[in-house]
Amino acid sequence: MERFRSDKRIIILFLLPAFMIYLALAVIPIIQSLYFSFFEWPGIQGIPLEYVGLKNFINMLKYGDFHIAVKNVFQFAILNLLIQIPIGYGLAILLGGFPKGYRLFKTAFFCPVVLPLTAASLLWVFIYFPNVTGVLNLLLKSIGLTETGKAWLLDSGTALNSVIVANAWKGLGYHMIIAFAAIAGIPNYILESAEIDGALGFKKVRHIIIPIIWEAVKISVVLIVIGSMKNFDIIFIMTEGGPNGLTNVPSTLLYYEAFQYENYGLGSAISAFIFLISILLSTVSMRAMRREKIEY
Amino acid sequence: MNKSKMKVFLCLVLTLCIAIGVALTGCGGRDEPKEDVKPGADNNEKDETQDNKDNIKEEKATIRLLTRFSGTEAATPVWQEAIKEFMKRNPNVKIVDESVNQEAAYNNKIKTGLATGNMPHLFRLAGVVSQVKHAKNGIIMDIAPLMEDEEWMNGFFEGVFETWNFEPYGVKGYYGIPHAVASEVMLYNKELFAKAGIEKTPETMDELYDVIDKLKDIGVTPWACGAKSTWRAGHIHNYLLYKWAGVQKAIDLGTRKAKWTDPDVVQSLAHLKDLKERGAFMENFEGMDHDMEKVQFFSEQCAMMLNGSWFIGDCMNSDIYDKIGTFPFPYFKEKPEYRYHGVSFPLGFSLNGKMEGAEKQATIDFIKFWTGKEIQEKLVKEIQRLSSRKDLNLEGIELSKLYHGYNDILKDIKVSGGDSFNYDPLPAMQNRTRNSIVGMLLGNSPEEAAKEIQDEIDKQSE
Amino acid sequence: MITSNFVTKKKVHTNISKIKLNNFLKYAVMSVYLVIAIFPIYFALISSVKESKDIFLSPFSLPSELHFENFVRAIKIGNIGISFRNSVILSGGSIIVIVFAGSLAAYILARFNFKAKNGLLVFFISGMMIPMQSVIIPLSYVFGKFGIHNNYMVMILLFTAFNLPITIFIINGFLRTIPSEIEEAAVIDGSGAFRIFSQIIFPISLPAISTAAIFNFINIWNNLLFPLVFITRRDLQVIALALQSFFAERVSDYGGVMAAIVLSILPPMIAYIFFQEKVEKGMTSGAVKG
Repeated sequence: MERFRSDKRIIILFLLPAFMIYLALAVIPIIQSLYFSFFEWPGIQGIPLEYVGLKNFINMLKYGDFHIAVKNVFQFAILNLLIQIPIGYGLAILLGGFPKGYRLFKTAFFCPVVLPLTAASLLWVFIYFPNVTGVLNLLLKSIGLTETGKAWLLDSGTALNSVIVANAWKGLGYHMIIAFAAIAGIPNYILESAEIDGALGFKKVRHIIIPIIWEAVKISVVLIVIGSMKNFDIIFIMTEGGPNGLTNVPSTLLYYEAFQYENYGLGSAISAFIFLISILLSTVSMRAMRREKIEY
Repeated sequence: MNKSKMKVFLCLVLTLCIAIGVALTGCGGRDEPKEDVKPGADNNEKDETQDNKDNIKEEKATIRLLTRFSGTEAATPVWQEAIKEFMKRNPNVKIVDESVNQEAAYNNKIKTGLATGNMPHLFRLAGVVSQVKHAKNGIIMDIAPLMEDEEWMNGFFEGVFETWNFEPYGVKGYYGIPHAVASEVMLYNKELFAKAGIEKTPETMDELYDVIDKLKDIGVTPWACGAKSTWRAGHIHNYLLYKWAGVQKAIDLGTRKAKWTDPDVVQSLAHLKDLKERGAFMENFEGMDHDMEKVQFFSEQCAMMLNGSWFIGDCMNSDIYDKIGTFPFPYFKEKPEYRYHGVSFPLGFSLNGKMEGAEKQATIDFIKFWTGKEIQEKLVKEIQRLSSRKDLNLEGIELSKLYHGYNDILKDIKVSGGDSFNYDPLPAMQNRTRNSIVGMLLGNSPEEAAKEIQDEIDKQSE
Repeated sequence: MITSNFVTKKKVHTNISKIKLNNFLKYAVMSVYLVIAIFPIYFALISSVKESKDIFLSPFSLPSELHFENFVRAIKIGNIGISFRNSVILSGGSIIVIVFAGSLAAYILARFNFKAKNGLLVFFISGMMIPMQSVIIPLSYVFGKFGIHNNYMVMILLFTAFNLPITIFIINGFLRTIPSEIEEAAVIDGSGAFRIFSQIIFPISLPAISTAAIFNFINIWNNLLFPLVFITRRDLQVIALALQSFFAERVSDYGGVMAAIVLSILPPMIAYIFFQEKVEKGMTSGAVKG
């Protein structure tokens, strides 16, 4: 048995496919992306890279659109936390008592999560259509809140927030399920005794239930923050980073700088920035969640 | 494994990766891109171009075309029929039409094509001066040899090829083939004008402001513009720039003799903002795209529109065709010297500079077919496109009033220009100028917009 | 909301009328959110069979007549049919490779003993931190150099590379909970490693594999960025992009666009309704990734 478990040929053979694919198409490219950020490239195949030192990073830090993008991604993360976690967890707690028909509600709440992101984003574009062609404007008009309606995705005050609401709508059910799983995992007798014991029960809520949910909250926070950093699709589809770059986040800015403006050097610097930020966030969050167990 | 050993191991793996990564990117980069690897999904046609070149006509070739002739663009049916017809006549040629109409998606295809060395065989590049570097790097083909085909060449209007003569920019040769000429005029709804008591079309901007007020009085949106398609506002600004500061100004901006922050350029932007503030456009027009704009004009919610000759086909298909008239873009009384400056330009295609053998031949045959007499006559007949050829037999073709409207402008314009970014070597300027213009309409001041655009230039030239 | 609910629970036995009120409130709150969650989907469904001009005239009401020609336009002009097939090929192919390569590697990393084991596990799992958008520039450069265009094989490997970390993480974690004796008999019988893997380990880890597969499927099906940059041919485009470009090209064909949206949301919705538990589990398996 021991010989089997340390048979070099088997080990190498079985690891090889995964190792090669992962190395060639994820690890090497990410290192290249760091390397690229010290070079300028006009985006034309056949033209060699030109070494420019730290120029791309200096340009990036001086670039107004980049400042907006970084501000936006933090706004995106924070507002998503503030919307998704209270509502998602609130709903999970309501469902946690297994009221009649809870399955129906749970299914409905989770539905947006399974929708393809492109389709969901386009639906929200229809909802946010300007003037009285938009569903939201029509709704507001019918209850007398507005006459002409707003251009939700254009106004610098509402554009990003409108995307955030759409994103929260899409992701909220996910955190509802995480919370629900955590609550459903609490043994019944704890809940029962909490109901019977009065003051003592309240203590149990504080000391047993809240900590259990708290673990789930930590997971949700990490997922939302990292998800926000990686987010590309919903902004690409709903606003294309516009109007005039106001709703860009680093990942969309990177795409537009490289693949629309042909500033590949600057794009690579932003790539490197995103990569470093996400390593940083992941490490911090792994530390925070070390107690976490893995469940299936 | 203990911790320190693990670290050593990770370091080793990392160094290995860095070495491979650097080796892959660092070494030269001069290799010619290989032939397309055909995807697993459809593997039926192999490239047989390598076989032999003795008998090119007998060889099979697959060519890919990337144009804006798709979706709601009026030329789409003619384009698609032409492709079919060409394949029928040349059974050895297979044409893959990859055209997309929407500007952002189109640009994405071009830019990723450039980056990955996967350009189609025929395509349209935005801008003009920004193409020079593509010409230098052999991405686009010098078509001067084609111009020796007299039968094909002699039919073109004088000078339509000159736009793509890059000799002044240091690359010898011609890099584009004109397939149409375009001009832009104001279209207006005669009935709505009459209803508002407007007797004559405006010649100066002051008269235009008057018209805008009168139209607003009868509850009609004066001017249709779907600025979410950013080129719509960009085109209005082209005209305002040329009428206020002349076409040469755009060229000077491109050669960096002038700056976007110069007072007259800022003023041209301010004129656009002024139009908005006068209520020329619909509420929230920045959030509507060209498609919605068309609907608004054709459903008579809006009375005017600035559009190019490529739009004639759309007008002819609309319900209000009889009511549509044209007038030249008004000029500023203060600037009579620029009265006859305006927007008109040839529209052209570029050919891939890396083609060989049967593919090259097939692509050349196709572009000659598309710009040849037969198709060009068809384009005039069916969608009244202004042709780049003078040798067309237009007898029996009923030319619309709009065709004449656009054609007359062509003759009126003494100094003509295209998009203002055409003269700029920076490819980013197309998006930069248009985005900043929309940003200005949404609240920035003209000065801020001008500075944004100038910053883009300064960022590059450091 | 959280605390108030627990607080009221505590008082349940004291006041019966409060229970009813609480219940009513509970259902009221849940129903409000039910409407919010479902409305956009409902809107897509009813609009997909309406005429374009009716969609915004009466956006909330059921259609007066059914216009199925919207779907015909979506499939024919919007290319939804072909791109649907493409998405199935791409995500299906990727899953096969991911499951194959991922479960082999996870098996070794979970149950074999060798020096570099923990280092390798960390090496694989830290891949979860690599953001996809950070690699598009170098990859387009390298792909261009090697002439890799519109290549499904490479796309599948690319998706595999980015989904291997989570897959290995999930399966590895699962296999570590399985007692070591399980292969012993087979090893003593002299069975080969492949046989042991395919006949014992693979079947036993199916729950974890299917969880990972669902998670990966949704990731790949929804991915926009890689196809956006690496697939330019329209006949090879995936559904997410076909939908986006149909929308961008024909905004005013609201009916057609809605039909296209419905076509793209139906498969995951149906899958969810039939395999509810599994999908919920599969999707939230990402929750353990940190």
